[in-house]
Amino acid sequence: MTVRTSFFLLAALSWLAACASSREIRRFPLSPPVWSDPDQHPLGNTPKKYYSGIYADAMDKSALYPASKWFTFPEKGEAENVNALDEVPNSSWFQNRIGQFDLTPAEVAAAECGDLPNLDPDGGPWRVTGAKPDGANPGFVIEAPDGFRYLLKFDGKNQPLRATSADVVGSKLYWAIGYHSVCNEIVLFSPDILQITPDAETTVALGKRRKMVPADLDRVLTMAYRLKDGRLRASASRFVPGEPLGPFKYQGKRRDDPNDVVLHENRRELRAGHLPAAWISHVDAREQNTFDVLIDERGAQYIRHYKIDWGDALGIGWDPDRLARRLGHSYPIDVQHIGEDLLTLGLLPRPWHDPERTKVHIFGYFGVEGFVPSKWRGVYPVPAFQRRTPADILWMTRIFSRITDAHVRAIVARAQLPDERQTRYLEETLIGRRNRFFEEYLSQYVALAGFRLARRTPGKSEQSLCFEDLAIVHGVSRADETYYQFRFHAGRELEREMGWVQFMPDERHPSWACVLLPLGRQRPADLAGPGARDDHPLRYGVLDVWVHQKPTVMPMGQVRLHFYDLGPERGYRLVGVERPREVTVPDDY
Amino acid sequence: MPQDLDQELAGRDHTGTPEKPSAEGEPSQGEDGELEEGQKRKRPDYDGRPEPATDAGDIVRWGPRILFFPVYLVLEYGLRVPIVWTTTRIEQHHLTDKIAAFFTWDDGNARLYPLISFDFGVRANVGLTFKWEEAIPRHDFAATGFVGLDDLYAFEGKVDQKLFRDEGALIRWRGGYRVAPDNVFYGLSDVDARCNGEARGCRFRSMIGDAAVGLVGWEERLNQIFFTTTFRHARFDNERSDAPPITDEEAAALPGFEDGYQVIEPRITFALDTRNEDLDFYTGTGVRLEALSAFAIDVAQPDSRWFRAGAEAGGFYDFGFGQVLAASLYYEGLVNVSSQVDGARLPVPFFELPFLGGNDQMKGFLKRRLMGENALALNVEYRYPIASLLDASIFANVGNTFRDLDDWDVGANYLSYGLALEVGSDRVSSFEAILGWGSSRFDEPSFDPFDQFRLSLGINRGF
Repeated sequence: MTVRTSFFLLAALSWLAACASSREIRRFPLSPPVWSDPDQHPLGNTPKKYYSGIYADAMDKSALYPASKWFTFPEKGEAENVNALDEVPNSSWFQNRIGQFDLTPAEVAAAECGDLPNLDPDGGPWRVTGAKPDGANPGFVIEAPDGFRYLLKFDGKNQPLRATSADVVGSKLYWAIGYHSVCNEIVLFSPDILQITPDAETTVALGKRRKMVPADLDRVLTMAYRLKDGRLRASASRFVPGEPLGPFKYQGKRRDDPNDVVLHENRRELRAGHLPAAWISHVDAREQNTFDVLIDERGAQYIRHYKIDWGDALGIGWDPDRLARRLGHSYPIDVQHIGEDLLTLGLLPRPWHDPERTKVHIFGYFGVEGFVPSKWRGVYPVPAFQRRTPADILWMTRIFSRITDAHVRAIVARAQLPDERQTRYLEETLIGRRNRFFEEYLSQYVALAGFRLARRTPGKSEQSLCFEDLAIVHGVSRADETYYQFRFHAGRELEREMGWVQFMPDERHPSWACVLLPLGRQRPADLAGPGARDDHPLRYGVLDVWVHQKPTVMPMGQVRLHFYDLGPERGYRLVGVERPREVTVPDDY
Repeated sequence: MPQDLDQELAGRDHTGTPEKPSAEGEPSQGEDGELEEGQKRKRPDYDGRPEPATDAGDIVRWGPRILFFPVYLVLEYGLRVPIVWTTTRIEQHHLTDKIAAFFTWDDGNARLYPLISFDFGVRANVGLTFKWEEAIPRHDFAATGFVGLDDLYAFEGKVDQKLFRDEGALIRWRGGYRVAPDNVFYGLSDVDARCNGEARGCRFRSMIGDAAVGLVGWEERLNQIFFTTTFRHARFDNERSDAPPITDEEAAALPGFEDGYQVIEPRITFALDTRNEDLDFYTGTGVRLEALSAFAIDVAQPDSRWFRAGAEAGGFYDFGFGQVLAASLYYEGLVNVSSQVDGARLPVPFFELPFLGGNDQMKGFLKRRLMGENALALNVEYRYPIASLLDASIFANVGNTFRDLDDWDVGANYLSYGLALEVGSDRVSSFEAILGWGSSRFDEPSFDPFDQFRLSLGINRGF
């Protein structure tokens, strides 16, 4: 190697090292967080309908897409549509609900159905306008006297009650989380209420359409599950107003939608969709079970993005049984597992090797035993799910933490399961699986949430920074083993440590804590001086919070809170929450 | 002191806490103004911070990105995009269903579908099968035709007449004719050193016609029984065969080669199996016995006749999760009961001799690699699931054919071994892809464990 080559190599390496080691100051602005993503811009032309082939999509996502993408060496960056508080703004993809607001169990159970009355089984006739005779859940479309159109789907003889229950439970859970969901309710009705309209059509072989005849209705009703009194049970899915445009993709952007500017695989709500899918074992969480609708409101059109069709959730049983056992643990074509099992002669212990049948047969292998949230797999690797980061996971876990047992029970009650044992089993399983998220993720990532500033002592201007520790709330960590260390930095390069404090949770209220600001005797406003503008860099400070869930030397996680200090009278402003992937501690930690 | 933080802070001054989003508020249109056709709105600055600076990882990542960019282009635009586009259009327009419907009649009871057979070392062939269930009440009809390159063809027809309600027991009438120029020949019990020394063995052409009638019992189940009587007309030549052909002298030394033969053979075979038919609960432990007995007589030369008997007995042990270890012992032999002519019994036609090799026994060898009056093989196989419907198996077999069982010696055996992938949908038959090897004979001075290679796709039945 020549001297010149050595010099350039050394220079390049030094620059790289400098890039890596420089402390980058990325200040949040002094402004309210973005809570509304303006993606309702009117569309110029009507977008094209998108057709997604089930087999083409499965083949693509199982093999072709991952293989192709691998050679681009993608970086698993953080989601793009995240505001300063590490939250997701409202948009045509997501609406903040239980994660930000207190919703009663009744509100969650009503979900998208809201205050509107349910489909009345005694208020007929129901005019049948089309049939959906194929698929795992046969059904048909009706126009009801209430003016709405519904898709009625039935349970088959294999696992009766599961599919309709899953459709209702899934729709309400996803609504509560914040996805745009549809109104699904159970309806029990007599077949006499059905009336085929003269122009009703059905799809037959080869996609052909023809007029519907009574035999088409009979074929669906023959396959459907009935109650002992002869009534039929169905999930009634209310049609969403607007023009259907087909599903959305979990990757890329829609070319003909001017509002679609963030790659779908980089949207947090899509990435974190892995978690609710895992919770209810919605193995079919693929693009065909999404729905884009062209909404026409106030004279302008835009696309709203829905999640639909949870009929596969809560333990679908497929033939053969060896396939059903793997659902939730392994993709049907799982290249990783095939390779591992091939090389290890199938001797690796696998979760599907000896799962116990549930005590309630209709829920197949849906249970709590053996459920590991991070390892859950659907029918193929969904591109957005694959890109989820700890921040995305933690965001959804925080939302889950606000779904209480009472909410779960209220949702399950809407499934109207006839046997109390079935209801109890489903409640216990959903609650147990939800708790598995807490056990896994709140012990891996920092579980502090609900940061707020408050003047706790009336008449005094001192502010407290308060927060909840979700790990303690959900019993994942013990208050008597937990402690927090806070250090506040300010200065132009955040080089000055203004103060620090360390404490354990208060025995009287172990799940929440407050710390008085400022830490130390000086505050950033003192550095900025009187008359400094509100967004002066010297008013800026960062509070690092390190969390120890066990009495270890190194913390298990870190969160960084960003503030502007407007002085003793106007106080601190919390402007940003950062949850770094890597924990960094100062040399003197 | 309230346990709940909301209760603790109720009514307090929350100045400094960021505001919450609006409940059920609709997103806005933003301030982009009118957009041009095809123009996208400006991407919002969601968190208000400057973009992170490029770090060392970002830079390092560009190296392999550039290096593998051509690979990405080929995969993405050469494979993925066209395959997905094509498959989507096929689904959207129901092309597969339309093609299937074109070849389907009588409400799906009659259908025509393609078949392919591939075995590296012999000719691949493609064919069509036509099946018509309930062509007439309680009668199924099937016909199959295969062609390969250059003078390889076969066709077969059969009629199954169902006897009982369960439709597993039937009377089968079958007839067919097959011409194959690629039959392998390495000698009979190793007597032909020349062909044995050829890399691909020698080849000869067969023209076999047969007709059979019999009782078939539960062919698709683990326990089976067959009573059949077959008439077989066989002719051979070494002129229109694949290279290298057997020589005229070698052909002359093979009983039945020059003049052919016509044989009638009543046969009984049965299989008894203690395993559970249902795969669902991995009860793959059990034992299996297959046995056959037959008597054959040369119609043109009634003095030429022989008995055939064979059996395979084995056990399966399921480790509990579908991993099954199996071992079996296979024997098939002929007893020549021909009349004596000039002090010697008339020989059994060579093509009727038991053999090893192919999809059933000694899978590392081509079919009929080993031929002789007595065939004996010990098989061990470990089969395990690797995907929902896919099993892998590793197998090893030791065996050979012998003129006389007294000739058996450990050193006189061959080893065959390999790996197979099988569609694991039932125990009786499975579609297999075999990658196998066969060794030279153990007692050869230069023993070669990789003497033969086999790559095959086909159906395996029974063991």
